[in-house]
Amino acid sequence: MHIPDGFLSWPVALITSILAGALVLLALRQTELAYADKLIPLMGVSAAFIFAAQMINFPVLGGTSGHLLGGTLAGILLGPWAGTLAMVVVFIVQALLFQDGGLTALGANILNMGFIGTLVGYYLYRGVRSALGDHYSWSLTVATGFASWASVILSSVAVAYQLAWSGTALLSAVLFPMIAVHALIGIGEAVLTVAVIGFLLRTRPDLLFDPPTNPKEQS
Amino acid sequence: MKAWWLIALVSIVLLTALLLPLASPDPDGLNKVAQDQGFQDKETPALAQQLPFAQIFDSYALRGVENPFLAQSLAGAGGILIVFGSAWGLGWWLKKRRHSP
Repeated sequence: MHIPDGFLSWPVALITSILAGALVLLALRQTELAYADKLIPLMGVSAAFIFAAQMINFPVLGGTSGHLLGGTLAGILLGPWAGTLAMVVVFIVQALLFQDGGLTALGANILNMGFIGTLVGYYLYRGVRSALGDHYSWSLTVATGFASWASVILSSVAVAYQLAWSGTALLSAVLFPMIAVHALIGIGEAVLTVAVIGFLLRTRPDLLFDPPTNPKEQS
Repeated sequence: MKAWWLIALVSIVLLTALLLPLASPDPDGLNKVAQDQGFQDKETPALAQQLPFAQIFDSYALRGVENPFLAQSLAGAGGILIVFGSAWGLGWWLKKRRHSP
């Protein structure tokens, strides 16, 4: 759901760029204050994985494709702030080197898939997890699936509003179609995120930002 | 396993090269909605095409390589390594800042 150049009006491009800039500064500050040094390689690997996964589109119904956005995955692995930074690195490299996502839309893309996907996705995951029971691995799995699915839909809602504010399309024309197609793409997001987190939960639960207190718990 | 990240990185590069030929060429969710609602033509050529990097990469394809899957796999591998290095470097820089007075 990378917005290309031309879809956003200059006021929307400017405001989203300023907001994204502020978010990046805040994420840098937060990560500098509290981040385990041993997780630095994980930041590199997570960003590399998400970049790779975003290249590989999977088909969804009706001649449409989608790909993993990975924001919630980044949040679950790295925490909300370092996760946001990993996503920002991905979007900057995509926009500058691979002409994927407009430079004028870089701020919007960072907010939609970085901020909403990672920060909102992470806190959705935390919320669902603590509601179901923090120390069960099944509640972690349910929370992972729900948060990653919901974050894709919320991102698509943000895109629809930005298009409407830009005068590119009427809100009534884009909001429902965006939600409908991303409800499907979100299923792919949930399946892939659960698969990756589930694999790590079995093999390297220590790599999760907040692993279950008892990773062997299977009830 | 100290070099787990190296194994992970090599696996990501190889898996990407294997899966790229299977990737769906259909428009993504946003592009599909743009086509259906008739605003796809508002997309303008990417400003990044003015950058020197565009001499190396044509979207996700390495310029000058005839075989499209090879061009994609090489561009993918390049991008994966650049993203990995940048994110690692950023983490390292933040660590250095934290430990210096």
